[in-house]
Amino acid sequence: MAWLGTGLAGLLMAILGVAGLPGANADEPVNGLDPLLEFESYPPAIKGKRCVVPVDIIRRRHMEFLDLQKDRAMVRGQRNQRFSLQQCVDCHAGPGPESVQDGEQGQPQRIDAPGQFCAGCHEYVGIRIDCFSCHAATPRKDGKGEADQRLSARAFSGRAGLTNPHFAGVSGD
Amino acid sequence: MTDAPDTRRRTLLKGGLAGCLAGSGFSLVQLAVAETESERADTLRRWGMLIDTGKCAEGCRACVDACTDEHNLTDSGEASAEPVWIREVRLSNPEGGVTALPLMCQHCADPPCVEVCPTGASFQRDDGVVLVNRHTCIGCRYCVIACPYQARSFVYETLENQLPRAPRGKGTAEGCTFCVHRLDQGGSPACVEACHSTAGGAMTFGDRNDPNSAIAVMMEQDSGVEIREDLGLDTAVRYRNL
Repeated sequence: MAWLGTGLAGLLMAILGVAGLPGANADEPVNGLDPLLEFESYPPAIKGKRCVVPVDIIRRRHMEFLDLQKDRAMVRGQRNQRFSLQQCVDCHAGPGPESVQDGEQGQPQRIDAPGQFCAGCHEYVGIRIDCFSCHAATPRKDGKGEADQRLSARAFSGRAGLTNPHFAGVSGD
Repeated sequence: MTDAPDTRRRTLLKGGLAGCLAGSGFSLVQLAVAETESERADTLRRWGMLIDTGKCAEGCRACVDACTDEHNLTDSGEASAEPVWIREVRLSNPEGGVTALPLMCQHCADPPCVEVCPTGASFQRDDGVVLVNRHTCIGCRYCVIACPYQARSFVYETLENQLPRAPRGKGTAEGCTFCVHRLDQGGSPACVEACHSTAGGAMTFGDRNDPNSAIAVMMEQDSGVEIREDLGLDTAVRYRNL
């Protein structure tokens, strides 16, 4: 019966091939221009102040950047580049509740938790993101991304009443 | 029906499939084949591991524990669904005594898991590391069955608290990655570090293509053996004193 399994696998491949499996050749840029070169001269991100590229561009094209970066990291081993998903999480995961007693921050919230950075928009537009069923949704413990937790707390605090705080806009640069 | 694989029929099938896809205008198979060939041609590195089972104490779990910590593999709570990236194997010798050894993904040069994967999710990097692309893994578990070393396991339950360095999730196959996240930053696998710092130092890891690396020098003297060498998979992990 081994031939039947092989045949089924072949059929599946044929269907996927015709439909154009997303990501099959995705380690090449979508429009031929490498975003890493496109934004080479843009300064590095500062938590709460400046994103990895101008805000209007990251809002529109973050999925393209992340798609490219996932293949670079996984297939080529080029990690921690400008469009690393972990960088998003490190900067944008909401701070945990502040303790009344000692003013210490609690555990940061998951970035995909309801009302948090990713879910804020994706719930609004009705898109279910699957990134964080595998990827860590809270910042790295090894120092990176935790230093400016207070800054982030201030940046978020003024917009708590809005339906989607992230449309209100952190200034581009 | 015989047990021997009918290579003629498989070749025919592959050829037919490639032709069919080429005709469709989107050549997934051709692309994959072209990539594999060019990768192998200009591969500069080939990671390898040499394990001296003579230094492997029976009952030692240094490498297994290090792997568990590194990738946060403590999840399911159910023994049959427990992720196993490094398996402890005990061999009883005919002359008496027991040989213990760690068995993880052998990172074959010719990996069966890659060959059977219907989506190309099971793949081989340029440097020979065999990985699962969880973005395209559909959870069919062909690779789990195909691996002669039982090195692949499957995630049955929703996971939480994954580490940033080790993404893993429900519905995908997984296995030893040679700690690629460490390799890419110039480090060595967690198990090897643990073996040297807290155990007998049985594991040697390095670039087999670099003649000055420790592993290349050691393999020059005694290259060790492959487990199931008869399968002709050209494994990256070799064992001494087996």
